[in-house]
Amino acid sequence: MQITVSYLGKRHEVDVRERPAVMDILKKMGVNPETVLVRKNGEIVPDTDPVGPGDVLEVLKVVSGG
Amino acid sequence: MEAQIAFKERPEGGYCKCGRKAVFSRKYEGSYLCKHHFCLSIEKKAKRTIRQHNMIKSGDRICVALSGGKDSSAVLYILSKVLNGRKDIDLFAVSIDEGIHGYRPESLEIAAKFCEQLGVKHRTLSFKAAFGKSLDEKMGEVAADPSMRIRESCTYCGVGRRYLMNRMARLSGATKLCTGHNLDDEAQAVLLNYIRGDLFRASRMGPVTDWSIKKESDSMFIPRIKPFREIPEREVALYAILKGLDIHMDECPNVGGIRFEARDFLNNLEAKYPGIKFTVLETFDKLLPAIRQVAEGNEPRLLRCRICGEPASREVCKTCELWRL
Repeated sequence: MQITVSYLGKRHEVDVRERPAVMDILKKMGVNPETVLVRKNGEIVPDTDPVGPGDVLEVLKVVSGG
Repeated sequence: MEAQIAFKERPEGGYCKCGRKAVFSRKYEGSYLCKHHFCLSIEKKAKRTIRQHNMIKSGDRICVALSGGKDSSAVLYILSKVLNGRKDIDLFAVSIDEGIHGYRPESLEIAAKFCEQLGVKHRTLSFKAAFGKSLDEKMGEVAADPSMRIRESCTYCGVGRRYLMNRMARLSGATKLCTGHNLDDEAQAVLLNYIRGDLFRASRMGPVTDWSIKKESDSMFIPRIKPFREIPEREVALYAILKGLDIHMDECPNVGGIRFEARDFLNNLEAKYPGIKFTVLETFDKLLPAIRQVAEGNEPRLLRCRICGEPASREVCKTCELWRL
């Protein structure tokens, strides 16, 4: 299954196993979940949230560095 | 029947104790929180920190250092909520325009608009007006002169910002300078002071920062308070988003240096061992009295800079050394 993810102004198509959680997709992209928040279909969701076909994820980088 | 269907279709993402869909999974306490309970928990934490450390008292005039980013905007928002209706406490905000092309103008515009919405007085000070040049111009000079020992823009920026903020707060009659420093900033600072062996700087850390660890307050140095020091950066960001605050999310183009390595190191540990940032800060807070004892003998004397007259630990303060000499 392919999920569309936007991150840092770019769109990515990520291949994942069936019904992954948000955190699985972040892991696949090499993104530390501690540094981002994720919107699924426009709503903020926990990184344990499941992702299905047709879902669109937007990954927001929220950690700056003081 | 309806309830059964709802249960079957319930995703594994998690539900809040109130039954609403969660927006956040707080791994270090094993909880799921909906928008309402998440925001409530952040406000409670900030209020608890303020109360526990007597950060604010009647008669205070609080200056919030506002960049327009998530941390300072959220702390100003919460303070304006907490202090709403308190006639005995005054709140205002100050922003610094360092002069970073393509980055700062937008955030300053957001900061000014945000203060207008909250009904909070706001002022902006610029490096250009105070030091005769912007940060971009200064870094141009540094790039052209290989003999200049300090080459990191964050050093010039941080020193200049702290100086102007303290001066502005004092000249405006502020009794406290409030910053949006969060748990991540504090845990990074603990690590960096340890790595650099800077016991004096470590000894001055804590929820309320004053010039001296001996409590000999200097009237020219405005004590700093950090109501978010026990709230992770990611949660401050989520609070700002959920509250719909208009915030500037871009990252400064000048980022880099050892602080960012410390940030990544801590975030990698946090992902594996939830709660590690709290442990770093809690352990430091427990050790702080001992660190202060060790540092006390080596505390530099409080002087006045011979150029600008501001508090300094040497004949010429760091700001004048970097920006005026």
